[in-house]
Amino acid sequence: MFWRKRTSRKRSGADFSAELRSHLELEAERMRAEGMSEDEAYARARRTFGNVTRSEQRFYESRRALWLDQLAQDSRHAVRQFWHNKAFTLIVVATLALGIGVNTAIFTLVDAVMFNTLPVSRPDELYRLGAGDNCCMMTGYQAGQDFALFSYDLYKTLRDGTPEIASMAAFQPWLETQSIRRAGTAELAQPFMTEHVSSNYFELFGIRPAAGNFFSPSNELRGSAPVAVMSYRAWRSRYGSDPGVVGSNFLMAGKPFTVVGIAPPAFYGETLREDPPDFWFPVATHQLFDRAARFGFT
Amino acid sequence: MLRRNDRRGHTLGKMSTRDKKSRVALLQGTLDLLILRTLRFGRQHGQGIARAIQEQSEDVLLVEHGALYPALQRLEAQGWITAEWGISSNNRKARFYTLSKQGRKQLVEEANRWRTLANAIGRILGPETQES
Repeated sequence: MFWRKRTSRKRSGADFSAELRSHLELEAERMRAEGMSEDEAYARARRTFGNVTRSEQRFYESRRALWLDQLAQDSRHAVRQFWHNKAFTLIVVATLALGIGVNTAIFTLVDAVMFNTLPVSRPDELYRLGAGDNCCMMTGYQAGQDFALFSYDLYKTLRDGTPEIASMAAFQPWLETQSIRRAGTAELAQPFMTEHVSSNYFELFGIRPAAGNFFSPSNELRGSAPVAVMSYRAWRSRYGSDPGVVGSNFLMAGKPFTVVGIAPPAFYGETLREDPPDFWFPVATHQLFDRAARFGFT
Repeated sequence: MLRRNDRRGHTLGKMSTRDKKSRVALLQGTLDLLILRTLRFGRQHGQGIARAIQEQSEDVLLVEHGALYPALQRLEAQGWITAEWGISSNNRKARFYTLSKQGRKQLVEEANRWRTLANAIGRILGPETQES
């Protein structure tokens, strides 16, 4: 009923124009019957009609006004109905909100994990060495699967004994939380995630530093000056992208090291995790900071 | 309000200098009443309505034909008249308007209101004078 009423009100502009034409013809015919010439009759009909274009304009305007009017009516009706059924409205709004929210969250994750390629130069040439899918485990029940850890010495042997593999880098299978502060400033030490890696770690991924440099092979030698690469995220959020960070000294548990470079923006390390490293150190530094050294590698 | 009257006066009752003495511009709202009244005698197309008003008023009222259509549109939207395409007596396509039941009721109300108003104004003005 409601729908019928509304559709019947709709009328095309072409239909309206046809009516105006029909009017002019009827009027002209009548003038001719009164004895006017063809041309005179039509001109006269137009004159008595007035402005045709303006009539058409007014038709369109009135139609638009009608449409807006109906829209306003419908909206008011909808709001009244919502107000009437508060519980129903609440459930609908909550359902939609949850649905949209969950979809957004899932898409964000899927987009990051599946659609965006790894921020490395040739991801198809990367392989992780180890038994099974369990990476980077140190403890815990592994449900019948082995987890592979390699000693640093074994890594070196494998790296040097496999010329067919272009490059092999090692990384620490777990992250450590360390208290670090910038030397020579009044700032308090803050907790940062750290990871120890072999000196060729960044070259393996084919990425370029956002600032400064990555490690050189000499950084892996025992007794070399301790250095670190800072993540782009830590550089931006903790140090306001201060270019002075590169080359400046920091203290980790009271021992000094130098930040030599900043990793590129999208690089969060070799493993997808919710707490990516803020600092990467060469393997040799680990001994300096007096920790037991065991490493997995890629 | 005054400005609106002026505008409508201009569109509804355009007068040439020659006609000025004998022809009168329509008051606002009266066109709707006249259309409804014309349709009381049966269905009619726009041109027919315009002619009928002119003739029945003995050429005193001048309706600019173009002004008729927005009014018809308005009445149709109100549901007082309905429209359909048909063939005129001289075999031409035309859109014919018919008075609806609602429109008939509206016509009675409007006509009564108009008579009341005309009577009241007539009483105030008093008997005809020769003043120019």
